[in-house]
Order: sequence, then C-alpha cells, then structure tokens
Amino acid sequence: MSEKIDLIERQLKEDKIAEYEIYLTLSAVYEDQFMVRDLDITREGHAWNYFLRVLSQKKKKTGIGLVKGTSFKDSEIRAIIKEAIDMAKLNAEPEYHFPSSTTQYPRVKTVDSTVQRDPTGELRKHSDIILQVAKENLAIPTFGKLRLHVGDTWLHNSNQLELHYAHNAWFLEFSFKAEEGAKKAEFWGTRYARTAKELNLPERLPLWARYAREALSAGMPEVGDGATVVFPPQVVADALVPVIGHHTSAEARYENTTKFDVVGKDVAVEDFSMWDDGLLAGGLGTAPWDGEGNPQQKTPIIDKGHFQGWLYDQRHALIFHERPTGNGLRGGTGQILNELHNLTCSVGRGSFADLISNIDNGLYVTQFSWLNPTELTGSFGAEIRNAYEIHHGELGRPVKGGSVAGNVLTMLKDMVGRSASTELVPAREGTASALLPWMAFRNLKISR
Amino acid sequence: MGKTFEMAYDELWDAFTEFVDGFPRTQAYVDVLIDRSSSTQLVKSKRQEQIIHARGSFGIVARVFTTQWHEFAFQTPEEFAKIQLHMEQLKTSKIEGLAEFPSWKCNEVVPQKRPDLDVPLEEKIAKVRQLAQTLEKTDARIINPIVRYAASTQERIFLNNEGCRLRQVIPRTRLFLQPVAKEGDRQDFDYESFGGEQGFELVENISPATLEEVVHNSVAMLKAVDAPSGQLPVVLDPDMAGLVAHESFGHGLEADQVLRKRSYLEPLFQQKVASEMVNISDCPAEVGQLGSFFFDDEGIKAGKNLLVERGILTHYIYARRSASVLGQPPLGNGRRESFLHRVNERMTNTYFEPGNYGSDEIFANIERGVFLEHGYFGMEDPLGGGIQCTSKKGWLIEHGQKTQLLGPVTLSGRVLDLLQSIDAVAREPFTFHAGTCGKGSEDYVPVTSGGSMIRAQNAVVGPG
Repeated sequence: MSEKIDLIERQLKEDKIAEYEIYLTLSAVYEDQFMVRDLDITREGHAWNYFLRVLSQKKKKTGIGLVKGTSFKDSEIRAIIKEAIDMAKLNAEPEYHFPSSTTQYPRVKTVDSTVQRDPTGELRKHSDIILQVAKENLAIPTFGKLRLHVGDTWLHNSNQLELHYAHNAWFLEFSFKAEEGAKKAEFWGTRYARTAKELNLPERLPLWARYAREALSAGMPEVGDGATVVFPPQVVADALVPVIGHHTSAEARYENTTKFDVVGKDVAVEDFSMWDDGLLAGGLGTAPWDGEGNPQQKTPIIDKGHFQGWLYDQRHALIFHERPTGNGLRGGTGQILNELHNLTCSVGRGSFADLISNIDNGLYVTQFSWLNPTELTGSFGAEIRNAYEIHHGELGRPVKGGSVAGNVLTMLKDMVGRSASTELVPAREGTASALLPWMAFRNLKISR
Repeated sequence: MGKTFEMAYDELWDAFTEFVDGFPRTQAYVDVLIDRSSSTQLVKSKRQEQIIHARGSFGIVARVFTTQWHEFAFQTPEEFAKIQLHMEQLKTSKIEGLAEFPSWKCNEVVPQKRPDLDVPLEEKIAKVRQLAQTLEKTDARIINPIVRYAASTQERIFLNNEGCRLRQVIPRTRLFLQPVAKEGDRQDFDYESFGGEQGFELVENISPATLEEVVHNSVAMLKAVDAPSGQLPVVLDPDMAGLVAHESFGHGLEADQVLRKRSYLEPLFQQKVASEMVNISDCPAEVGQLGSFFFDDEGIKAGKNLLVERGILTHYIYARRSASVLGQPPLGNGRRESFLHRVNERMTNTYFEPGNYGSDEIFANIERGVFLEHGYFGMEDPLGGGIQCTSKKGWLIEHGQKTQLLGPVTLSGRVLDLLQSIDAVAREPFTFHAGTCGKGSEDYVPVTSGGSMIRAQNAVVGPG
C-alpha cells in the first residue's frame, strides 16, 4: 500500500522532518456468531490505521511525538505531523533512534495462503463444521464465535527501513452446556490460532463438549496448603506469560521492578530452561520483525534454572548498550511495549499419564475462571472452573469451585514435573503463544 | 457521495438518512452508527514518559436484520458502495424476531469545564509530572510512581429506518495512580483510580491528601499478609460490592444469556434471589459517570433498570433483539466497543442501592471475618452462578475491628449464597468506581460499579 505511505512521507519530507517512522495497518475481520444451533450474526469489517512517530534530538535526550490517524486527507496528515512535532518538543527521554535497515530478517510463515485468497469462503467452510458439530448432541451448544483476522502491516522510517508483512489468525469462542435433571454444567473455551489446522475444530469441539458433560458430576476440591497441582499448557501459559514477560523485560530492569535483577540468578529448578521464541512456527507472536523494525529472534531467558538475560526493544537496548532482541511490540494505540513474543521451555521425559502417575494426591486444573496473576509480585488466586482430582497416580472425580492460590515466581522453584509432550497455545489475548508441556507444581494453596 | 466521509454534518446526515430510508421497515430493519473519537494518553513512570494522541479515529457500521443480523464496518465510500448493494439483496418479505421501538431525536453534548483538547499539552504533561513527583517524594520506599492519564471524546451518530436521528458527544477522562513500593526484597503497590464524563478538571481536583493516602496504602502493602482461607463473614467496600454486582450477578442478567439458555438466573425471574435489604440497579442515565450516555449503540434511550428490588429479581438487561424476543422494553444496554465490534447486552453503571447501616456499624458483631477493599478484577460465570472476584487488598476483622492488612483476596463460591446472606447494607459511602468491562475476554466498554458497602455472612475467601 505504498501510495498511502507515500502520501504521509511526502508531507514529512516537505516539512523537512529528519527522523520519522510510519507504521501502517490494514485490519479485516470476518466473523460468524452462533446462538444455540443457529447463526446469530455475520460480520465483516475493515479498518486502516497509522501511527506516526517523530523524533526531536536534544543533547543526548530525545523527544518522541506519537500520533495515531485514520484519515489520509492532506489537511489531516498535515495536522497529525504538526501534532507529532509539537509533542516531540515537549518530552526528553533517553537518547533514541529508529533502527536502520538490515538484510538479516528471518523468514517466517505468518499467513495461510488459502485464507488470504478467500477469507469469507474459509470462514463459511469452518462455520459449517461448527454447525454440524452443534447438531451432534454431544452437549448443548449455547453460543459461539468464529472469527478470522486478516491483516497487513507496513513500517517505513527515515533510516530507509521499508518493511511489510501479511498475517492472519483465527479466534474461536464456544460454550457447551450439559444437563441432567436440575444439574447444569458448562465448558466455555476460547482459542486463538494461526491456522485452521491448529484450531482443529473437529477434535476440539467434541473435547470441550466432553468437559461440559464430565463437569456435571463435579464437586468441591479437597482443601490443602501444600497441594500438588498439575496444569495443562494453556493454564501454564496464562500463569507464566504475564509474569515472566514483566520480569524479563529490559523495561523492568530499567525501572528496577524485576525480580530477575542479576544474570546468573537462581530463579527456577535446575533442570528447567526457557526461551522467548519470536520465530516459533505457528506462534501468534511470530513475525519477521517487531513493532520498531528490529528482526525477531529466539532468546534464552532461563538456562538450567539460571536467569540468562533480558529482552530488549530499541529504547532499552540503547539505554543499556545492548543489541535489541526484537522485543518492541506495537500496542493498540501505537505505543511500543517491551514484551515477550512466544514462550517455550525444556520438556520432561514421560507422557501426561506418567506425570500424573507420580502424584499421590493432587489436582489437575484444566480451566480457571480467570488466572490473572499480578505481574509485579507474581501472586494469584483463581476460582477453579474445571478440574479433576488426582488420587494414587490417576485422575479421579471432576472438581468445580474453590480456588487455587500461589505465586508464579515461587512456582518456578516448586516445579516437580513436566511432560515430554507439548501443546502450542495462545496467550495474552492472541498476541503471543506458548509451546509448553503439562507441568506439576507443589506448595499451592487450595481453598473452598 | 464524495471520495471521503470527512464531509460536513448536513451532508453526512443526508447521505445516511437517504440510505436507511431506502429500506422499508417491512422488508428489513436497518441502522447505521457513525463512530468518531479522539484521545490523549499520558503515562509517566519514574524513568519513562509516553505521550500518545489519537486524532480523529473514524469508522461506520451498518447492519440489517431479517431473521439474523448482517453487519458491515467500513471507513470509505468505496466500501460503502459495495455494502449497499449487498444489503439491498438482504431485503425480505418477512422479518422475524425484532420488534419496532419508538423513534426519537437527540443531539446532546456532555458539558465539561476543561475539554481535553482545549488544555495545552504542556499543561497536561506538567500536571502528570507533578503528580508523579509528589507520589515519589512522599515516601523514600516508592521506587516507581506510575501515573496514567487517559482522556477521550467520543461522538456517536445513530440513524435507523424507524426514524431515530441521534447524536451524542461524550468526554471521558480517567486517572490512575499506582505508586510501586519496595523494601528489601519485597515490592507491592496499591492504587487509586478516578473516572467520569468530565474533562481535565477531574485531574485538577485531585487533592494532596489523596496522593498521600495512595502512597501510604502502597507502602503498607509491604507488610500485608496472606488472606485466610475458608468460609467467613465478609464486608465488601463499595468498589468490591459493585464488582460482585457486576461480574457475578449482572452478567447473568444479560438477556442474550437467557436466549442462549445460559443464565443461571432464568428460572429465578420474579423470585427471591437475595436478602430483602438488597436492591441492585443498572443505570446508563446516571449523570457524569463513566458508563453513562444518552442513547445506546442501538439508538435506545438510556433509562434506569432496577434489577433486584427488595431481594426479588425484577429485570434483565436487554438489547433490541433480546427485548423483542422476551417482550420487554430495552433501557439502553446495547453497546459496542467501536464500529468494529458487535452490539451486545452490556451493563453500564451497576450498583447496590444504599441501605440503613452506618459504615462503622457494619463491622460490629463480626468476631472473625474479612473486609475486602478495592475491587481488582472479576470474571462472569453466567451458567454456573459462581463468583470469581478479587480485591487488591483486605483486612482481617476481629471482634468488630479491622486488625491486620491482607494482600489480595479472592472471593469464590455461589453468588446467590452470598446475596442471600447479606445482612447489612450501608447508607454511605455511596460511590461509583470507573472501570472497563469485557464480555468474556473481549468487547471492552467503559463502566462503573459500586454503590454501598455490604456485609454477608456466607462467603468463601482465599488469597488472591
């Protein structure tokens, strides 16, 4: 879409702006929503947005003006440039420059060519699968959404960086209800995925329906202060991504709020290693370059229990005289977020069944209402929505209600097992992924 | 129409009036929402300052109903031309499941003393810096004084083929103070947030005592201990009580959940669901609150919805479709995040109405319990009727007194057990707390929740 960028760039050059960056996005959504067993709404939408950043250098400090626009009318572009210039005059941040062009951009797959060719046809095809499953009476569907995000992102800056990549992703939200007399139970799941294959509707929906049926016989958990709890990859990701994301960010290092304050610090059990993989196949955080135009990469975070180093965006790389690790993500209002992309870790030796077999008494939590740990402290407490007791190495009766509390940072040292098998799961509302095993932690607190 | 929608108001009205009137109501229901907004965000921490301005975000959504909704969101006349053709083809001879509601006209602008866009950026930055500096200087243990200012002006224009011609301009300002404290290896924070349909005056009215208090509260968190676990009497501050009213109860009343056969409250309609002293309302017509407006995103006039009256469940929360199917009048709860998001049944300002107890009186007679303060986050459970609401902090109550500061507290269990065990509702304070609400994990809209402090004898608590 070079003509749209040209419109803005021409004005910037006319105004003799030395350092600028244009970040342009075209987003399309195609969505079907369902009510019980019927289509409720069919939606389609398109939106252009751009974010202009202008720099003003002043004695080892930099003023940054950031303005978002949707109009490509000359007068509006002029007004946006003027606002960005005025803003840049008003602040003085640590010295900052835009990345320069490099030839070392990784090749990663971020699009499904079938979807790019015919998004409405692909949506219809997969909606039909949902409607078919809904008729099969595995459990009662109550509502659902199937959405396809199709997007293009361009980045041009005054250092001759000219980048573009296309991307798409699916989103599924679906709820099944099971009834038996007056008893009712539900499984309400959401899933982002890069491809329809990962979404795997023919297998995922019956699994969710089964969870709903099994929850009919759920009871409250046994209480305990030092409980061993097993989490599937999705729950592990919900726990780790926000907390690890905060404490490994160079921003937290700069703000002095990270618990990972020294490289080499003992932060996890000794056989545990972890990476941020910005190039992970199928990852929702995967892209050739980050929100500032730096190449994404795979970066070690923890090696055999010891902290390996922080994740850098351009700003913090310049502050600490480090190389950027490509961890400057673009937020919804155009701001740069120093975050991880996709979390991966070392795996264990056995299967999920082997992992469970080592636990005499414990809990396997397949879903919390909302596992939302406090990033800064790592603490969390969450209501159990779907779980199973573990007795003598085997899964027992379903559990619903009560809560599990703990601290994510402590859990890294209280990890007592990991499966060999892994699953690619979404994180951070579809902007990141995690490829993780099933994991067991001790010393969690179960309340009811 | 020309090449762009950035046209004069008269032209815009004329163009879309002609469009919606091209659909006889007998052949389809059609509406258009024009969504225009601007916003400013300032984020200041100890070592970082971000200024972000969104100038004139713009989009339009047109939708048609015959037997289901079809909806198209766009920004350009070229897209609109294609959509018009497509929508024409959706006309039918029979519309099923959508009643006709009264048409009306409205053109309202919420007054503000100092509109965000009229305040020089220098002044806004200076004020935010001053707030951050004050937080930091108040106590040496504050390592990161985070201040977030966010102001937006949202204009929504709504037209439909029932004759609605509506426009509203709503400013919303929020301020969030979060001083992070650290001592030894321990770090924690408390926060204070403010929000409403106001301009920059909201920030100017923050008092030094407020800043001192939030710093004091953050530092105090360094000594907080884990909350006890189990079934205990609780007192919920207005913020936390509002969170329970909103998350655990309100979401179950969204009438789309009834149509989906997914509301635990459906069999309890017009029945007792709470103790007699409980009255819960949702009211988008409250003046000046973050969840307020004149009309919702389906052109329905904002009203007041008394959801629970003396413990009896009396109303659901409706949008056009669910109100039609259930034969009830909608009161302004059909809301969109933006033109790119669909309308859903949503809460607005949801609160416990005041009771008769004094705020000190409410703690009396509790031998051992927990006071939950600062509603932090929660998640709905429309079918199960469970609670997950977490407060940022709490207090142990012993012999009628608050004794020990607690860290985050998670409230779980069944919401009806909690509501039925309410045995005291305070007269005051009566406050609203600004926040953002998602339906599930998306579709965020501004809301408030709050009202009065409540005491309940049957609650499950644990560390959060």
